Amino acid sequence: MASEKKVVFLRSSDGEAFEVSEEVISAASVTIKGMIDEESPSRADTAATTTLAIPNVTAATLSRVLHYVNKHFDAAAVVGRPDDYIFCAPGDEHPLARFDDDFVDVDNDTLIDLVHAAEYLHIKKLFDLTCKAVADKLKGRTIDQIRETFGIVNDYTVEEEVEVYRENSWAF
Amino acid sequence: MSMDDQGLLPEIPRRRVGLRPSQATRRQLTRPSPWPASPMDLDDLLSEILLRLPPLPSSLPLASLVCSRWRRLVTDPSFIRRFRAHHWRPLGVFFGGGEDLSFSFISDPRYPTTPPERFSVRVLRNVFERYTWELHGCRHGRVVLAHRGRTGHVVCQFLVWNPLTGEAHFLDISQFLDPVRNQNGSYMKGAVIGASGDKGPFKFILAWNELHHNIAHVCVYSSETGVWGDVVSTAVKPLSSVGYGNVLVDNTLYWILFGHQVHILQVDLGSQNVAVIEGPPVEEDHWGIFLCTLAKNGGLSLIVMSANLKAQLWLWETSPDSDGVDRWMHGGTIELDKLLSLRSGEYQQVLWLAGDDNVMFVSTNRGLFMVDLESMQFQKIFETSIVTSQCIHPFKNRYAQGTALANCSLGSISIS
Repeated sequence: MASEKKVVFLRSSDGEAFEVSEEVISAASVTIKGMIDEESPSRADTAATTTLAIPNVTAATLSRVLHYVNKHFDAAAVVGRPDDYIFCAPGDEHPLARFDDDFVDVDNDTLIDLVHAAEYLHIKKLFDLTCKAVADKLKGRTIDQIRETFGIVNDYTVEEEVEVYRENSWAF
Repeated sequence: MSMDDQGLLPEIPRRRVGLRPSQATRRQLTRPSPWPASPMDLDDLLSEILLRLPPLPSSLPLASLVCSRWRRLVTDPSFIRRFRAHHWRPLGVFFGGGEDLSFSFISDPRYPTTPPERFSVRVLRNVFERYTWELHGCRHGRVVLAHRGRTGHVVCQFLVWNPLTGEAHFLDISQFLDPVRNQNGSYMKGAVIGASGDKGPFKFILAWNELHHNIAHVCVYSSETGVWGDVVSTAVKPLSSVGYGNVLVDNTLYWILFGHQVHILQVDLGSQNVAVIEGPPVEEDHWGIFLCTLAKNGGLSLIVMSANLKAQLWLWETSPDSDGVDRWMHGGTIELDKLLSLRSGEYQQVLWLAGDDNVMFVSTNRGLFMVDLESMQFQKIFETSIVTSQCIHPFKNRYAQGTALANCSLGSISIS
C-alpha cells in the first residue's frame, strides 16, 4: 500500500540513510529538489523508494539539517507564517526564533559543517542562519581572540599592522 | 548577483570553489571532515559570513585587522556595497522645507507591504516662530535641519533628529555667528555622522565660509561630550561658498565648494585637518555638480550634469603613472536620458544626488525618478513632480528595524 506522503532517503557520506518527506525536503533544498526531479521519470513506473546520495554531508550534520528542515518546512509543524518571524515585533517571540537560537548554539566545527551543508544543499534560510551565527561569534572579541577562535595566522608585519590600525583608528 | 539582492526567497548562487591544497591538507590532518577546507578558508563563504557582521561602522575596520586576506575581502568595493545594502535600506524620502517639509515612504519591492504614504513633518518651536526649517541632509538614520529666519538669512540653530526614536538634539550655533564675517550664518551647512550607526552618539559637523575673507571654517560637535571642538580653518579661492552636498568616505567628510571653479573641502574627522582639493575641469554651462562615491572602494567622485541628462563622472583616484597621488580621472558618461527613455526637449532636472548612496533624483514631466547609479536601476517614486525645491534626501534605516516602524505610526511626525 502506498503511503499518503512520498518519502525519500538521503544517504550521508558515512553511509547512514535518513528518511524525509519528499514534499518537505523539496521545499527546503534546491539541490535535492533538482535530484528528485532528475530521478522522477525513471521513478514513475516503480514503487521503489528513492535513495539519494549526499556525499558531502556526514550523518551527524545531515541529521541536524533534517531536524531544521522538518521544523521550518513541514507545514503541519509550523505555526503561523514561518518566514515572517524575523519581522515579529520585539517581545513577540516566535517559536521558530527560539528554535533557531538553540539550533546554532553549537561548537565552531559543527557550525561550520552546517554552513557547508546549507550551501551544498542550497537551503537559503539555513545558510543565512548559520553564516549569521558564525559572524555573531566574532562579536565582542578582540582581534587576537578572533584569530585564535578560527585558527587564523596574522600575516601582517609590525609595520603593516600599525599602518592598518592607523587607517582604521577612527572606528575604535 | 548577491543573495540579498534577489528578493524574499532568493537562491544561493552556485559556486565552484577553488581549494588551496595546503589548507586542504591541514584540514584533513586536524579533523576528519568531508569538507576539504573551513569556510573561513574560502573567500566566497568568508565573504558571506563577514557580510553578516553587525552593521556598526567599526565592524569592517575590525575585520581588516585580523589578517591581510580578511582586509582584502572587506575592502573590496562590491563587498562594501553588499554590506551596506544588507544592513540598510531606503525607507523613504524627506523633501521640501518649512511648512512643506514632508516624508514619503518608498515602496520597496522586497517589502511590498510598505505603505506608500506621505506624511507632513512638523517641527514646532514656538519661540522661533519667525524661523523655518531647512533640510540639510540625512545620514546614519538621522536628519539634519537648519533653523533659518524667514526674512533675512539668519541661521540660529541646527536640529539633529532621529525620526525613528524621536530623539532630537537642538544645537545652538550662535557662538559662530557674525553679521559681517558670515552674514549671521546664512551660508552655514551641517552634516551628521553616527559613529556607531543610528543609535548612540553622533558627531555634527558645521561648515561655513567667509565670503570676503577667502577662508572656510569647520567645527565638530560631539553629542557624547556635548561640546564643540576647535574651529579649524583653511584658505579657499575668492567667492567660494560651501554647498549642501557632502559625502563620507571612511573617516573623511568631503564638502562641495562652489565658486568660479569647483573645489572640495576635505575634513579629516580623525585628525580634524581641513584641506581643499581642486575640482575637475567643469564647463560653465553645466546643469548641476554633485559629489558621490562611485570611485573604487566607494571613494570620492563627482558628477557634472550637462543638457539632456548626460552625466560626466569624475573619479578621485590614483592613476598608474601618478606616483601614488590621487587625481581626477574621467570615469565616463552616464546617459540618464536613455536610461529613463526621455525624449530630447522633455522637461527634466536632476534635483539631487545623495552622494553616500549614489542615488539620484530626477524630476521629469512624467514623474520623479529615483536612480541608483551603482546598479543603474530606477523607480518612479512620484507620479507628478511633487518636489519643486532641490531638497530631497533619502532616509535609510536598518533592516532589523523595518517592523518597528511599520508597527508604530509615522503619520504623527512632529517635534515640539
